[in-house]
Amino acid sequence: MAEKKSWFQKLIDRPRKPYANPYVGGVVLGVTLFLSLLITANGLGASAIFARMNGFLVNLVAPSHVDRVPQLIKVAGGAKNPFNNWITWEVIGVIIGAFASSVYFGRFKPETPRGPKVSEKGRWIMAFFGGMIFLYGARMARGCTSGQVLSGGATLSAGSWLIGLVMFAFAFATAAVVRKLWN
Amino acid sequence: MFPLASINALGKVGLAIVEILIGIGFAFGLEISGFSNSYVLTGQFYFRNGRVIKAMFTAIVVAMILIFGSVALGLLDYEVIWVDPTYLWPGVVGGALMGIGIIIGGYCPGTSLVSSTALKKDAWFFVLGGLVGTFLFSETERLFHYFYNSSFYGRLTLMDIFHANAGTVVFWMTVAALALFWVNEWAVNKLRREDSEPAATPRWAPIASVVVLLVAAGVWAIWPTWQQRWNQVADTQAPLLQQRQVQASPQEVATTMNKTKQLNTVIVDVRDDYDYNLFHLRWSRHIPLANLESAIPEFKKIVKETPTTVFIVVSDDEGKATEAWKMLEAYKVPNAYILGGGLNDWIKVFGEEDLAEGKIMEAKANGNVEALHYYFEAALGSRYRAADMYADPENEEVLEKIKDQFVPKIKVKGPTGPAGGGCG
Repeated sequence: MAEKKSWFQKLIDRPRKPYANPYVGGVVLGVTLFLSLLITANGLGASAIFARMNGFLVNLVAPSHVDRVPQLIKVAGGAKNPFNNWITWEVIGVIIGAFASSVYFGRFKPETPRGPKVSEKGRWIMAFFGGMIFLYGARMARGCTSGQVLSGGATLSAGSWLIGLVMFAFAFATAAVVRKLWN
Repeated sequence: MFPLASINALGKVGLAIVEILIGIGFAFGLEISGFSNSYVLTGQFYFRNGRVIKAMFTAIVVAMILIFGSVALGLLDYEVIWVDPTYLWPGVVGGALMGIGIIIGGYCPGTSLVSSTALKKDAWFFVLGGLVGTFLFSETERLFHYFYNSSFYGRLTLMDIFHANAGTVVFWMTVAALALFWVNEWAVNKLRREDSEPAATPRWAPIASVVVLLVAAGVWAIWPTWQQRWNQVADTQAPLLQQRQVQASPQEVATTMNKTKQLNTVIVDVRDDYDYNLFHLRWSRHIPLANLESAIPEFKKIVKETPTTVFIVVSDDEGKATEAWKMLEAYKVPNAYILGGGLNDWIKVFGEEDLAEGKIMEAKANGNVEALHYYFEAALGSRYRAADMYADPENEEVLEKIKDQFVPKIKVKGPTGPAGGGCG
């Protein structure tokens, strides 16, 4: 008796296709960013959803605490819905787009990409702490790779270019220090 | 005129749908570039591949050319779209942490959302860690609140840094990006290990480079002068001149200055040195017409800090001031007005005492409208009663005397622009 595959398994088992030329991907990103500014006056963003999710969660656990933290009161507290913002819709689109693209090109697979010298669990721990450091920095810089480097870069914000240059410099330097993580 | 959001053409639902579509495009661009996988993404920083630099800077250059091309054609209002404000040192520290985080974590926030959706388990941990990092930031921000808000430069752009117009900056940034691509391709081919993908420079790369460079040069070439910018807004603004809606009488200007408690009045004297030294209003700023264009960014900064700012351009008569006003309108400096009748009218209204004392004497009209119609005993600048007392914001007696002598023209509009944006 042939085992019948679930629909989910079928999505996962689609053959893996190679990635596109990144210059082509860049053109897609650039046109999207342009249309975003043209229509909504806003660029692209991502780290803001972390801030809003954080506001939502803290408000859930300790509503009175929200009123005492300036970073939280901006997004939550009182009658404020932390998700009442354009970023929420954009992230819904990101999830739809990522799902469609990764399924279509056969890259929708439960896996843990990692360097050859790192265990799966080790990679998870790295990702957790890396995410922590990154988002701490993104809040400090008032935006991440998409909000600052990409959107601010294209609109020629001086501060965004500085942030982008510092970020790339530190990324290359860190990579050189921890070669074993990825090589 | 774009952006559409500024004219509320879409409504709430329309905007939500547009944002979803933008998100889809965003994720698609990231996913096909290889950023739904941390091993591929971090490959850039070990030169296993050159994908991050290629995709990222292509996106920046493409968007930049489209944005500033649209601005040059008068389709898009650069003043209204969101440009990240500059906080120098918090940006440097944040950028450094992000650089460390992207190597250790393997993602950035946008790519972690894409990769989480594509079932990459490490991305789930990145998102979790990211939430913890965000929580830690909101809890610890009070400890360095002063630093977090320090070195604020507002809407500072590369045009302000390089003292060049956007067309020029767009062209040279494009040149720099193409050079970066070349170095990146070279480095990948030189440094990559044998088992990793080659830089795979597409065959069309040289042609594409030339096309992009030509388009960028086109943006530079069509970048409008202030006169062309004025022509773009002349349809709505020129009638205001003809109907004398923007020429404020000396009495009104004096009253407005007296009201400085509510309004920040900036008197901009655009005449040449000679006339300025003879006579000028106290507290006026001397910016000859030839230098006015380079002062526009500063005016914008003043407006940003004090939205209730009124600019009053001043010349001997109205001619030069009208030119200056057109320039301010061309650059969309809000609340700009002309001193109606110029300083000649000012002296006519407020010069009684000076004329009686013989410090100022009436000159015979020599047919030159755009000149002072008075002689001055000496180049006393603002040390005339007319220039000092009547422009004195504290002098309520004068205010009382002239309060019914004018038809008010000055209306202060509140700040315009996006209510918020970016990664806010």
